[in-house]
Amino acid sequence: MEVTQVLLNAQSIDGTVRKNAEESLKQFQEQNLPGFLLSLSGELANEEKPVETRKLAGLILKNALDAKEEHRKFELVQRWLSLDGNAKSQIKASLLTTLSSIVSDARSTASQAIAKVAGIELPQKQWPELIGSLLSNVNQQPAHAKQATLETLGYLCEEVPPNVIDQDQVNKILTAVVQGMSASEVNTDVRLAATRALYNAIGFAQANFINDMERDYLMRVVCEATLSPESRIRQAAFECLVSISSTYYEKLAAYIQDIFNITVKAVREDEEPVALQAIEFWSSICDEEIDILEEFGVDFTGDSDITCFYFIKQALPALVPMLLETLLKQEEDQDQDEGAWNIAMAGGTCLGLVARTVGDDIVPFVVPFIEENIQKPDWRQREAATYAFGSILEGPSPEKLIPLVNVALNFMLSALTKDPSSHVKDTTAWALGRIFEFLHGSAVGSTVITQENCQQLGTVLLQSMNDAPNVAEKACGALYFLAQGYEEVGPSSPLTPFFQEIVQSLLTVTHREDAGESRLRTAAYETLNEVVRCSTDETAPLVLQLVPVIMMELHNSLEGQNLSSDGREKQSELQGLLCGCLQVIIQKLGSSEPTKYVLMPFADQVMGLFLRVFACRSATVHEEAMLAIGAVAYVTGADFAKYMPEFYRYLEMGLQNFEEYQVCAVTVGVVGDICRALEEKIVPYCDGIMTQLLKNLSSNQLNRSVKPPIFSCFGDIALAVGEYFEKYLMWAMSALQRAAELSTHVAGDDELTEYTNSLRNGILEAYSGIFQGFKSSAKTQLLIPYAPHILQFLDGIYMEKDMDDVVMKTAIGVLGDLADTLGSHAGSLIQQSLSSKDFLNECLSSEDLMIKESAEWAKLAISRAISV
Amino acid sequence: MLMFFLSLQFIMKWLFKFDKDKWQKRQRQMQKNLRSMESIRKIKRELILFFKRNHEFFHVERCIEDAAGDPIAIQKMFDSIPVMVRDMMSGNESFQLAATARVSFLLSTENPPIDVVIQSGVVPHFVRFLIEQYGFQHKLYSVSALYAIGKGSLEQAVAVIKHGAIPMFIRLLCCSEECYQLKELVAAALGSLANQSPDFRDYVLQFGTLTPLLSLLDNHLEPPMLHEKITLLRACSNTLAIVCQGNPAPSFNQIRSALPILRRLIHLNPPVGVIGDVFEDACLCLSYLSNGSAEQIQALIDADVCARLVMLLGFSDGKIVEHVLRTVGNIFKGVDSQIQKIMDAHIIPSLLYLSQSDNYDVEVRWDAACALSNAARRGSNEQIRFLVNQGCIGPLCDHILCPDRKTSILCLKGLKSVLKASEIMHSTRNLYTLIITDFDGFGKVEKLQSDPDIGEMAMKLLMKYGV
Repeated sequence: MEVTQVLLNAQSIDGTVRKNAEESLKQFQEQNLPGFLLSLSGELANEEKPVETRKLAGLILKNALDAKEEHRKFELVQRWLSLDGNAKSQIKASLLTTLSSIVSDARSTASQAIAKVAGIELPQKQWPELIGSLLSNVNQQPAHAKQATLETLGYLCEEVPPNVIDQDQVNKILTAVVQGMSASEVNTDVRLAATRALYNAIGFAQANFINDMERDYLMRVVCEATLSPESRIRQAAFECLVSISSTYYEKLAAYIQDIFNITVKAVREDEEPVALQAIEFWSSICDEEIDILEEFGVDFTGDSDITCFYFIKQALPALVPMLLETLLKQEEDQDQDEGAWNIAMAGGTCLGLVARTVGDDIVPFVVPFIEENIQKPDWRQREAATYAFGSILEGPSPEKLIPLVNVALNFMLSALTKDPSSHVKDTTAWALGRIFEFLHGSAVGSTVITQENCQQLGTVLLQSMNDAPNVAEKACGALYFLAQGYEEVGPSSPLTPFFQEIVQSLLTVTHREDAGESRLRTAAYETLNEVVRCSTDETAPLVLQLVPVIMMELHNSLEGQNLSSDGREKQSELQGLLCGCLQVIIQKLGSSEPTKYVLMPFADQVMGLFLRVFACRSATVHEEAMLAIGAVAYVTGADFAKYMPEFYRYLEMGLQNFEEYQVCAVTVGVVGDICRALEEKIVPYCDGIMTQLLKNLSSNQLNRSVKPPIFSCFGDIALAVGEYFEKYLMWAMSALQRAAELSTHVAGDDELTEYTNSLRNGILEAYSGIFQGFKSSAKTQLLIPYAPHILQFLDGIYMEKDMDDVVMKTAIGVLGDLADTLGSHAGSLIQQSLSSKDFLNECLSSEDLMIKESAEWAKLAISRAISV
Repeated sequence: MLMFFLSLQFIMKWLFKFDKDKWQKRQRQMQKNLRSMESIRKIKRELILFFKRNHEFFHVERCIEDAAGDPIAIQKMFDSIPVMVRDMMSGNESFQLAATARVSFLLSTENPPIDVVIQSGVVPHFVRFLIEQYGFQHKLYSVSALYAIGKGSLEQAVAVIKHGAIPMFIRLLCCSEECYQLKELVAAALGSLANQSPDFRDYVLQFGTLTPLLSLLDNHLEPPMLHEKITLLRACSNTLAIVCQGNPAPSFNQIRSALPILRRLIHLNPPVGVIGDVFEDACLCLSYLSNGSAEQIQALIDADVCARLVMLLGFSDGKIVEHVLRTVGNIFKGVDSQIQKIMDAHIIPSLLYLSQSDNYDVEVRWDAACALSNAARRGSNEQIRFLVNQGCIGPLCDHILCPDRKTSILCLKGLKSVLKASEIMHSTRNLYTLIITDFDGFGKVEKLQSDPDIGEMAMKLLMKYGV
């Protein structure tokens, strides 16, 4: 097949041509994969081919090796591994050849493809000669090839986990990279590629960073690169420093003074992208020190292996003035652009982190700056002063901050209403929000907000709701935290007198023409939700009045016909906000008996609306409406049965939504809610639900994060229907057993361990639900055959020693449930298990209260089981 | 925060001590504070599991209700005593509670398996469940079980005492919380133990039972008189009456502190219903307390009860009148000054009236006659003169042939004492023989001559004073 022409056609501006080309590529791939990949690599390597086709060939080749979705990626990896060895060798050889192509796009695409192949093969101990051949004559190569080699090494380090490459090879990679970076390298591209490669290789250099000489050398090279005349190299070098600071914090002491000097220079003088990285370095150091100090705070035994060097504290007198300077470098339109990121914002963020790191010590360094600038005619100075103030509100003690806030509050309120600059108002509203977030509320016990100034605050904030969208949005945020601070205030809240006014203003905001800007509408609804959530019994009647209002809004949102796709998206977003708001209100009113009963009469109408929201879409269901229905189920209890005939199809639709897996996950949760509401009345729908859930479990397409909740849902169903679960027992148990086997004997990174634990927890919750569901029924003996495996599973996860506290608690609870339900039938089995001895004893002496309780339950259940 | 909420057992254990109402309130409270559907789900799932795991506890009341009067269910429960015993010995409070409730229920059935329960070794656990940490319900079931055992045979009651129940009972009576129902049951349990024998009674008294009992009575006499408050009073008064009686009688010093409260109790108004029972118990107590030395009688008089006693003789309730008559009769056994004290309270007309009244049981008439006889036997000559002048010879003669031998004897002795006094006071002529003759006194005494016990006394009297 003449692949060049097809590849050209695939980039044609003519849609039909393009489509045909894509179709024939697809066919080629399906009919003869090795041939397809071979011709792609051949195309890429062929210096005579046009650059566009070479580039596309490389891209398709790369995409044939990796995908975003977990299951797809797994398939591709398996497919490559099972490919004919000859073909693979040829492809790899072509790729390596391409690295010395004179066409830079070809080299770059080849680099990425090589890294992908390495990502698959190196962990399998295949392609051992790769690194050697890449490095063999790196120094004799022409600059362009050298650059490609270094780039490839960089990508490779990004793709391959560090433990896969042995130290000898790491040393060679680092040597090549460092040589490429050094000032003696004349070619800028090579130096840049080397610097970027080092960024990816830092995680591999564990051993080299322990060795003083090697570390000194590496650090020197990186620091030198920050002084390169080429700004991209300087930026990449600072990126390396950021990465080093988080990976090797404990090794930085000797260099911190030099780094400080370099960063100050960069922040003050360099181009913005470089300056941003220089600030990022200090933010990263703050992150490290905050983590260390937090760990230290929790665990006073001090056996933590990382000590805090207090770099920030020591740098404070010079660091803070540098950061304050950056605050004055605002951009004119930064408030309008949601994604804006500039040196002033980075400086403020870093200042906030510094405040969290050093606490009270920062205050004297910042206060003079605020005092000097807060009343200056230039808005930049006033804004910077306000920003500085807002940034240091988290970290220092309330005792230190409250006097400042008490002085500033009135000034800020007047700035919020009167300052001519919208920037200043925006930042002022934000800073007020920070005051309420950190210095207000029962947990702080401070007196920043009193009964008297609460009224004034409320009035000013509500007034600002009419300001520009960005200011109004910040005012909403401030109101959010003001309300939150009164969450546990008791029967009477200081906000009660203005409750109606607040609600009204927020609703008005949602109707503003420009509410779509600066996510103002979303912020207004979020604040409304928080105000409702934190309201007290006094205002329950007013919350109830809100029900028909929001229902009407939702009703109106359903009216729009023949919307454009953009209009439809907006409609759906609005419906999401309204359903979310109704969910909060239902939850709030449903949480106490009296208000629950007054809410009841609305249930039919609300459900009717939610069903209409569902009906609006053809293929998918609305996540927020689904969640709100879960809240309705708790309010109506068993009466929810009357909605089931109509609602069921949407429930099923939600469970089938693999694409938007969050929708599926939410729906699984709602199945649980409905089980608890309906109890045995769920029975008529169980066949359908269980069938779908089992189908979901066996699918490779469904995001794996949905599977643990599905197992928990088995438990919910079993608890609701009791022995009726018999019908599904065999299927559920075999699915559980398969998953249980997968969830033991796994070694992997933190993410995998976390997932494994959530999977185990789901499985265990299912077992508990099944056992307790069958308890005291005549059919408990049906469970006996599963007992040995379940006990084995418990023993298995105990021996793995990698379970978290939640799993531990659930697991030992299952042991109790098994004993409780099976009684004497399982007595001897239980006594033989490791779980009933070492595991149980370990849990019994746990310091975690919940584990201990679960263990005591298990101990009791076992003792009862063997006493009969 | 969530960690705290999730620790349901912790909440139940330390905050609410298995008080279900409070617990449910707390449960609602914590749901109120939950912010997301996810956290609500987590809690709800935990809750359901918790309910299922503690099924025994949450269904114990219904299970007992269903079993009541159902012999098969009771037998089934009886068979599972070993599991209950294990539950009680476990560290899980909800299971301990459920088991305690079941055993306590079994002990309340028609044929309580007291010996089986004692032999199973749980009595010390019942006692242990009375300490602070356990909840109200739990204590209630435990006390009720101990009460049932304490009501059994003497040997069975020993098991309760042996394991230190009495000091725990007293601690419960003293606790500052109201819990009327629990205190009522404790008071009754103490009463049932004291009722076993004088030794048991003294043992109960030695631990200082009286003080909390009296202060409960003292503190709960003010309105509003809620039903549970009144029944608590009744249990206390009943136990008080039990510890005041017995043969040998309790040492007076141990019980004299009851007098001020008893005085208050006999002023309760109106003495009907349960309050009437309390009132009656108080009168009964006074009759026991008055039965003793002159010092004891003096204590009674000092407690300023005489005038009230006279008033009580006008009550229509025969039981109360009977107890008061005994008390008065006992006071008449005292020294002259004590007799004078009660005579000054105008007691004699009431006694004369009662000795002839048809409004009460016949015993009232007899007791009134005995009281008069006591006065006549113990009084000074001056006092006898007063008695005769008031007309007490008539009743003595009337009851001399009483079918009740004790009354009969006392009346004979009373007449003898009157005649003796007359002999001294009237040197020339025994004036009172005339009055006795008027009431056919000697004719009646004549009929007693053949009596094996008092025939001789009757004969001597006739020979000396007969006409």
